[in-house]
Amino acid sequence: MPKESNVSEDRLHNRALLPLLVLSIVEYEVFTFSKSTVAAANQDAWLSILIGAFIGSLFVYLFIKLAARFPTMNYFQYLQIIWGKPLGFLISILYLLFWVSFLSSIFYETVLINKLLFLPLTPPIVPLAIFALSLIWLVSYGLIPIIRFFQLLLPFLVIPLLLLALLFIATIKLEKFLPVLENGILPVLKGTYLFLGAYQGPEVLLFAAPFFLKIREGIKTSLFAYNLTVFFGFIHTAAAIGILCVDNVRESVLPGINVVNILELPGFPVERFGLLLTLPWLIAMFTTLAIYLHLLNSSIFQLFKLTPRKWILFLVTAIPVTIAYFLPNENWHEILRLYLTVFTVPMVYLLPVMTLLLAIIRKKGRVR
Amino acid sequence: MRNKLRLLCLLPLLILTPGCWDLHDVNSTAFVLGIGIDLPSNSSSAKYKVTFQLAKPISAHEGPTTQSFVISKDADSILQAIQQAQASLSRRISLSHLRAVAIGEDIARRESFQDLINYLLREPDLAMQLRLVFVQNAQARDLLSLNEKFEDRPSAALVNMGCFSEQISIIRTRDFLDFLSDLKGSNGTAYGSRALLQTGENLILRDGAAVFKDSKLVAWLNGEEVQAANWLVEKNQAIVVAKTEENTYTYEVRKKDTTFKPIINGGNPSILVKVTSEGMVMEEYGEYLDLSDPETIKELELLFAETIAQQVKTAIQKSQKELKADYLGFHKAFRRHEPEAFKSLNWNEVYPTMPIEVEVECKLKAYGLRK
Repeated sequence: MPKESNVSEDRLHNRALLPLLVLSIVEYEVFTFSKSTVAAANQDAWLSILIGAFIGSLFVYLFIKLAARFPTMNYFQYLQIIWGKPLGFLISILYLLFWVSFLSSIFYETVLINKLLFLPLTPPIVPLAIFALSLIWLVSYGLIPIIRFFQLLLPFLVIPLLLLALLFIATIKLEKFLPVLENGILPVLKGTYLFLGAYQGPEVLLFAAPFFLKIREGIKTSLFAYNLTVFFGFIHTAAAIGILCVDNVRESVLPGINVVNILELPGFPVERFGLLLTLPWLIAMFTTLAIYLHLLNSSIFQLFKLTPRKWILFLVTAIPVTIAYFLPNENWHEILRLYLTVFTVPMVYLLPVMTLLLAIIRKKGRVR
Repeated sequence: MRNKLRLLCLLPLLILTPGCWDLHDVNSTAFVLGIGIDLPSNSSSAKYKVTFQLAKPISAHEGPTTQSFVISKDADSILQAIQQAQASLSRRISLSHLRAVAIGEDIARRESFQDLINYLLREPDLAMQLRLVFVQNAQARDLLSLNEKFEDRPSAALVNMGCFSEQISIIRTRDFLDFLSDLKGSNGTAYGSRALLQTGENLILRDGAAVFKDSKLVAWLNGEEVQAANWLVEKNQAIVVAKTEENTYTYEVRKKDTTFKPIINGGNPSILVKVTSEGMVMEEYGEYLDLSDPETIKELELLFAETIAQQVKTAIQKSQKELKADYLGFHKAFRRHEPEAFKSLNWNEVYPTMPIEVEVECKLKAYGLRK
């Protein structure tokens, strides 16, 4: 297993932030696009997303500022400098637990989608094992090959989603968005919180920063990447409301796939647009799993000062895979997902910002 | 050497992976094109009679023959009926190409629509591009067994008829999910598509509509009533025939727009309906008018406006007084424009007595190729 130093000689151009962020953020949402946001804000979910985009962009900007203070270190390394060793270690452990839950949730989602849509008769362990083994293979090469791999995959995720966005525009019915602010601003704000919670991924920046040439110059690319994912979320949510309508979104397990399957273009030779989501979904799930598995694996090595060994990677992968395999039913998964969504905001967004504030107060890191 | 060993370990996969659990061979699949739901002949033994219209694949050189057949099964649930149907077929049933759902009058009157289609909403194989019709005076099975004149399969006929529904004002087209959304958004009141069979001539008549209240079928509307109601709910073209003594004038509406203005006066709701239309005079009977005279055009516009206003009032009267069901969507206008007031209203109680005013404006833009 190749050993990764914090600062590799083969460092990445800031352009690579785009695939890294987009593919880290987009995952199960390809099929469920902000379902919880619609459940909270009803037809005003689009407003929640716009507010969420603004707040999320602000966080991404602050993440870059934090990473730029410690350009040769990853988040866990400077956590201990800023918060002190015991507290920093404790926060890092919290992250590990968060990632294990998150990975379990995504592994479960791959099982669920396979059971429902792609491979209903195949024993779930077969696709799960194939997925896990290919992830171990990719993750064992380290972060830079993962990001290079993401760069290759990005167009296959983005192009079908953009194509779908175009198809949606012709079908959305605007009257389904009325009345605006029917229940006031509070549900919209709740929707914003849930939207931010559904968008795990920007924190990857803090771990990948040492592998980039000039992370402090990565603000524009990072904001573009983040807002591109928000755009997909926005357009799919708007389509779900404007085509499926709020009541159906609430009841649907996979509103993303439902709304795409309704699309009809008279005279167009294709009648099942749902297939357009298959490739993006596979890519989105695989890449998100890859990046978080890498974070979990490398952080365990780092925190517990272990020598990188492949069998440990197997063991680390086995934990979320086992949890996912033994989750009793979809209801348990939905509860797990809800908790993850709620905890994402403090874990992914607020903790790094508090770390930045503390770094400024305690004058830690490089200031320029 | 290690790589060669790894390769050797992978080679058995080539033998093991081509076969798979989820093999979907088109030659061993029975594609369901339409589903019909009726009351079973013996209601005590089963809840539904489910009819499946199945595609019968034929090779191209065999020429035009019947391309589908139907089978019916009595069961307590749709899935159970599928299982029973499967037991009599040599190919695996797939709903991935299901395009039409027909529901018989008897069962639509007795069972809640949501209960009837619950399975269809859960089935992952299904695309939701479904045409939905309620069959009057017949069973859904009769519709699916019909030898339609143009199409080989009645489900294809229903799909194709839905494609040009915007040009016909006497029909109501509401697809599966839209109809379901209407029901959910209005406590079980909605206005869906009707199919009427003319068996002697092998025709499916699509004029008219089905009215639902409390998620159950309560009434049928004929073509004339649907044209009247469609002024308020659809954007489709319309043909208006206005009569004065011995003369008849026909107006083809190319563009129409209807707005609802909800009014709350001292806590009492009322609504103002404004209909505007643009079109052409396409037929005259009796006295031929001088259509180059602006005064004549104005008189004709007034005549058509009165006729349309009468149609709209009839539709409102039917909905308010006779059926006491707001399938015309006035509640949506109130919810959009007066959300706070709407929350405090018991709509089912308020609606039948609510004053509704109608204003119609007609514009004649042309008169075909003759003055």
